[in-house]
Amino acid sequence: MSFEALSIYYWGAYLWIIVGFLVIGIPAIKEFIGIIRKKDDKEEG
Amino acid sequence: MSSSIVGYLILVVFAFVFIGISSLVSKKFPVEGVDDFVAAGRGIPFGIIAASVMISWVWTTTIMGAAEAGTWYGVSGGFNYMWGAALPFFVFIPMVLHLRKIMPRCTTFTEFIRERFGNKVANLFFIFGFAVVLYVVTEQGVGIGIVFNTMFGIPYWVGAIVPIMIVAIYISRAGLRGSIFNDVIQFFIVCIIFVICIPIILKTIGMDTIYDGLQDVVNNPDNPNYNPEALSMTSIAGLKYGLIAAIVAMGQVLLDQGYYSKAIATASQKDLMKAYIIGTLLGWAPIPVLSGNVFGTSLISLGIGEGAGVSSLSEAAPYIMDMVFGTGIGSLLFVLMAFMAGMTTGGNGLAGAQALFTVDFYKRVVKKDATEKEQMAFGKKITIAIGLLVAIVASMLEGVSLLRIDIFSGILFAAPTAAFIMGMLWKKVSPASAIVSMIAGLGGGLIAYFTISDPDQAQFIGNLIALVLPYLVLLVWGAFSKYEFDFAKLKDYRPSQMVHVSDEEV
Repeated sequence: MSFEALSIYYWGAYLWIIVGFLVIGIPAIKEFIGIIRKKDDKEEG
Repeated sequence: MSSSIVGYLILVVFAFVFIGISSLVSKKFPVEGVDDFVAAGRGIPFGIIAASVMISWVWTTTIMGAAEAGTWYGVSGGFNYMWGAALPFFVFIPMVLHLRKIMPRCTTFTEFIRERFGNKVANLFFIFGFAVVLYVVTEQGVGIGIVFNTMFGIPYWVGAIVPIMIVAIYISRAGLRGSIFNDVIQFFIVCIIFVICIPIILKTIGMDTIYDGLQDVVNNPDNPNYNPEALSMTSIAGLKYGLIAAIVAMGQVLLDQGYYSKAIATASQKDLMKAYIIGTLLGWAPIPVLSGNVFGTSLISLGIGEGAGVSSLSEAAPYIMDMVFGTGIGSLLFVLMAFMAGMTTGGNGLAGAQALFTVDFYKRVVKKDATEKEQMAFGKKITIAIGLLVAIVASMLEGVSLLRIDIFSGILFAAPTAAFIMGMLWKKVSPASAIVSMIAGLGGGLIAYFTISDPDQAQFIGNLIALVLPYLVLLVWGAFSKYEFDFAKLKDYRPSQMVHVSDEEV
């Protein structure tokens, strides 16, 4: 494996975790807040 | 502040945080029945499940083991660990989707086995399922105990017992919903540590240094880590390692009720498929690849090897963290990662055991006319009891190599998977053939392991036989048998507890 290929492999894996973090993390936060709000509304109602 | 005080402080803070969250969850979301307790009401959406699946599949070994694989096999080590351990999920996902379709009111995999094969086979699977939980949670306790002992010098047994008991208490109080909510918080912490630390490590060590060091590992026979395949992605030894990882992980995924509970808890079939595929491929998969590359190959590129800087290659990850961030903050970040990886995996296992005992044990074995309230009370108590049992076992395993247990676990847990998979897909698999296939896989695997003299071959062939032979037995038996199972009756299955399923599924 060349130096360039190694760099792409290592930094590509880093990009991979960032994409995964955002693709999962953003909806997870939204859903979490949604569940809490829904529960609060139910309690108030 | 002495390092042992920092270690104790971490344990105390985490005990407060975890048990505090479980109190908040149980107050905010009071459990409404058995189904709500063990399946979180079957309404958890995609993102939360994906985060939970990802983090509960990150074991302490996903970081430390993949890093070690990077030291053994070079650039292919982390990648081979990744595909090997991820493969079982791509068997699990269609299986669990199919299960929800053919038996919509099912909660535990042992309920399916009971309806499909009868009590004898189901009791065997219950034992296997319980053994997987014991093994998985014990291994997390041992891993955390070692980390706390080596990093902070606090007694091993304290580091092994306290985290397991924290997990057991929070799972017992808040059920599956508490476990999933805790997972989400830890998903963010582990990901943020990785996202911040990886570029700092690569910049500090330098890609040039890593590449030049790996060239030396490849070309210099005097290098302590000499490996001509260290810069190759097609290393044969690495591929073989990936295959063993797949076989060992197959039983650990397919027989772990924790993953079924989360799959059953997911709001819809579509969310379930998305959450498991994205949670595995985008969330989990980069963790072992990065651990193998950034911790493992960095270590060997620096000329550090067993007896030449570290006493064991398992120390690759903590060594690199200490080197780059200093012993204080580096140790702390590494311990946080290992601690959370172990706690979430342990929590997943215990939540699964709680479901098995609450749904499929109490009313059948202990009290036939029990109310749902009594079932849940039993589920809570048994979770604490299992936690205590595992904590005691883990505390006694100081200094014992887990490698041997790992090998046996591969052979033991791979053997029943064929009966489970084929039993779900093919009507001609009978209860008798299921039992014979398990005995054949287990016996064949152990015979191969004990009779082959080369330990690497023995491990590889033993695991392979335990996985493959049962399929052959079932295929041959089924071809000559008149037995046929009617899958339609599973659709009408009604458990004793109230279960809410969507119209889509019924």
